[in-house]
Amino acid sequence: MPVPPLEPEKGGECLVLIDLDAFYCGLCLEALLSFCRALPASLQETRVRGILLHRPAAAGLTDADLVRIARKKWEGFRRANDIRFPILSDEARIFMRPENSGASVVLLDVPRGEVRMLFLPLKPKELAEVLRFLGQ
Amino acid sequence: MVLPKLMFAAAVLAVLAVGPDASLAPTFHPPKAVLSLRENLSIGRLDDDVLYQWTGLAVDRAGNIYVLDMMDDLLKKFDANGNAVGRAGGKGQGPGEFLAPRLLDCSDRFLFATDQNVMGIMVFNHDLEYLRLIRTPFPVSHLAALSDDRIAVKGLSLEGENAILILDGEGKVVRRLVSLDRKPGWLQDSVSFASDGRGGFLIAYLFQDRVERWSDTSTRVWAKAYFGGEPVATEKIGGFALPTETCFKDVSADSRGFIYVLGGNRAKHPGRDIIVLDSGGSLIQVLTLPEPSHCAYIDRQDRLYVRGNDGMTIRRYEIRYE
Repeated sequence: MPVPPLEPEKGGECLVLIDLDAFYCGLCLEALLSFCRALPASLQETRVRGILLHRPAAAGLTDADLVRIARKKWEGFRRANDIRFPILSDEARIFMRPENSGASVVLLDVPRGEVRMLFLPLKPKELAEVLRFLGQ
Repeated sequence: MVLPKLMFAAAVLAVLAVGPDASLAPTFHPPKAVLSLRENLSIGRLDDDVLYQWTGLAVDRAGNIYVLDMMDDLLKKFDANGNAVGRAGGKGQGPGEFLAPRLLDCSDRFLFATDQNVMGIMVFNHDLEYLRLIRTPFPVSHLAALSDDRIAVKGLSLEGENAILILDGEGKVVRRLVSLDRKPGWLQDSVSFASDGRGGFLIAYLFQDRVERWSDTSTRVWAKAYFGGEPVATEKIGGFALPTETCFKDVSADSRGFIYVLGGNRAKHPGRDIIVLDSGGSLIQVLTLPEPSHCAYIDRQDRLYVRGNDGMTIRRYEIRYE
């Protein structure tokens, strides 16, 4: 599926950073899912990008395996929950994993020239802020 | 206030029991090996869409394999050769649907499944048709099907009943195994347990270095430590002192009376070492799996099922007796 380009003039953009360990954590998955459900499909497709973060490989697995594992788990979760935003894999581990596994939202605030990070689960006020920021 | 705490505890328990392992120091010097494993079936690969992250697993008398997948919220059935033959459930809160599927076991006629967000046990038949919900007053942290109308369950409680309950098919408590040792602190009484095939129970503590055998619900035959007996480390998270390491993740028994206890991150190879005991609790040997698992399930034909590829593969092993 072709991914539409981001258009900052129509609203902000955000990255959703998803630690692979979130897939083992019911609360983390619930927080991620409730955030995704709050985002209209049109915003998911146009203003949001997901980044999969990887932990070091465990016994019997290579880094390449871990990337495939993360992508496949995401695919199962995405399909089951009709999540629309495209996902990118941080194979080079450019992004730092949060201390407590889970997911976070990075707001790319171009007008202010700022990057802000919010950790899931979002408080209602934070969610409202994110939705406003994305142009909802 | 208690319910959110219990749900929080259930989620923490799921992470610690199912999640990835960190390594700690080894302590074992087992005697000569008498058992070995030979892989004879593998279901799910990294490049297919069969399994995403399975949690609960059960096997019926015919060797059909049932699993719950927490990523796509499905209950899946495979025949004894690993062919997919059915799926049910899906995301939702309707009858037979899941939000966070966890535990599974089966009797001759039924499957018993739990969802982290549901206080009760969902009952399906072997054709994956949803039948009913057995309500429980607590989130279920572990279960074992003893027969079609007897299910052993451990509830997640903060200060309440510290026992394994034997429920009938309607959820009525018919017996209690009440002597679980409760140590101060959250989740310290968390256990995995299984029938020993002789009318008794095997109990392995997740956060205590302790394995027990009970001949019935009132007689503890033995209780032993295998990692030196030291208490597990805890960390304050959100105002609660939560255990940060696991001693044992699962327990099962074969038809010969051998007991298989899957070591947590206290083991030399976290999530990979299966400590094999005789019926008296003496160490026979340690079997080391190639990959970490959260589960060590033995079916009625003495075949061992464990996790592979981080939950995308079920590996079945024949247990060979020298």
